[in-house]
Amino acid sequence: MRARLIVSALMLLLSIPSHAQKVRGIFSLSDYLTRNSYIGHAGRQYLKPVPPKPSTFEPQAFDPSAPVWNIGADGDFVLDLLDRGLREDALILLGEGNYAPGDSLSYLRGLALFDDRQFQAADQWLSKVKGPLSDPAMFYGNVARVHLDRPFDALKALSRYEGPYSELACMQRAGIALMLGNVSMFQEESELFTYSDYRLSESEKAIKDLSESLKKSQKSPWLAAGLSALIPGAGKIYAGQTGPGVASFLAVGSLAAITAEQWNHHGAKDWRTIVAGSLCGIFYIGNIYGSWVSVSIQRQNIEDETKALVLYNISIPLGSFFR
Amino acid sequence: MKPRRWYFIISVFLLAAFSARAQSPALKAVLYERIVFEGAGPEETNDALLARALCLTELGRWADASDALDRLRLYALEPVRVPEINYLKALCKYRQGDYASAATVMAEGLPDTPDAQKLGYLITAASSWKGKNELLAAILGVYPPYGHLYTHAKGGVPITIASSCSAALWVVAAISGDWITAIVGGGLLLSETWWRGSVQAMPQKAREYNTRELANYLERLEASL
Repeated sequence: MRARLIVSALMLLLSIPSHAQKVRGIFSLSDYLTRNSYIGHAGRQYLKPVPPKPSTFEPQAFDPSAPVWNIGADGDFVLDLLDRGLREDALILLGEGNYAPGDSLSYLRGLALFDDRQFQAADQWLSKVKGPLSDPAMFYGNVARVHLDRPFDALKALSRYEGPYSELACMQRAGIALMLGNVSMFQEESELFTYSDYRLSESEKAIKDLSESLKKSQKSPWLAAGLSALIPGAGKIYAGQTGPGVASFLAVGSLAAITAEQWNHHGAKDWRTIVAGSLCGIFYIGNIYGSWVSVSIQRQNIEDETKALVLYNISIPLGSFFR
Repeated sequence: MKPRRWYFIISVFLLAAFSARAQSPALKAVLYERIVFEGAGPEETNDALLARALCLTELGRWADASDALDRLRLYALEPVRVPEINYLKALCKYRQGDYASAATVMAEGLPDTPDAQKLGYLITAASSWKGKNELLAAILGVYPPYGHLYTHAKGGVPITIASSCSAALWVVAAISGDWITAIVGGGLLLSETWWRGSVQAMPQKAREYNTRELANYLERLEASL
């Protein structure tokens, strides 16, 4: 009898240390265990935005006494390198070549850094661009700012824009509004979509479709918790997490069956019934708590997915417009 | 080709090769790429790509060097240069850890130089190296801790013995009277300890062991040559 108690305690202790840093309590631990079980891992993988890279670009200072390189002549070559994915080479040329400072150099440096996902540095270089290249620099800079979680800076730049690419600006504003959950702004901007420009129509449709799917995906954490109280795991399935939902159902169901058997054979006050019942209770409450949390996780997943899709759709047309 | 373009290509070549400012191999590699971009003829393109590949190997950018070598215009290559290029290709593949591709390139012929012979020896050694078998590791994982011992994961030996035995004892102790507890509870415990911790983990352990040991073996071999 005691041996079984020791074995149970040992098993529980063995599982705790590896998970202890990721959980806040025993109910959360039970939820964590079910979510990360085999079955819990099954289910949909969400699209997550790729994080920006830290900046490593340190260009050499311009030396007027040395032969000056011509950025006008090298511009097409840099764009060709970027188109073929040779970003490292483009950055080496733009960093080590003795080019005179100017808008073209700043723009190309910003563009190469943008392609290399060094968004902080890309934004710095693109912000310096004035003159005819300022429009593309502003649009690329906006995407970089959204990547850097500075959407309001992008909106501020777009609010001042009065150039020829008004529908592109409108599409970027709509995308950012959608990402921020600003429904009125999104509606205001998306009403201006004409779907007539081949460079924009696909992205405009994708953003509009995304807004429709977001409307349907609003879930209540309390309803999720209530459903899991009635049928373990049901709240998680409602939140879109089928794998963890099934895992919760099996874990709570198995522990309930063990408790019932122990109660039947040994009575309610026997230590085996108490241990199994306590574990069952922990997993049952953990399942309710986990369902409530699942809606937050689902919201975070939707936010990530929305951000990734918005970033994709506001980036894609830039190539057609400016390259 | 227009004379102006020839003049341009020659000047970029000279700039890449001799410019004081272009002494960095990284910048040289870019300038050689520029020659290809400007539409040089097949022979000049080959010269530029080969020079670019040499700069990139100097920088340890093996994948980029390999790409440059793959873009060589083979029809314009003098047969006498093929072994030299094969050597560079094989070296790039070897340094990337792609020993099978390195062996394929080596079979096409390497030059008769000490460096090439050394590389050939290392590629042969890497190709003939026998690591731990992943299937056998999984089978041995069925009987803990033999899988751990086979894959040299000695840290996991006491844990896998303790956890698997505890789970098995649970089943044995409960099966006589409490069969739901034995089957359902024991199943849950065994799936975590025996199946997940031993049987399923062993092929990955074997892969980790093979990668680590092959790298160590080749490093020792290279140092001894």
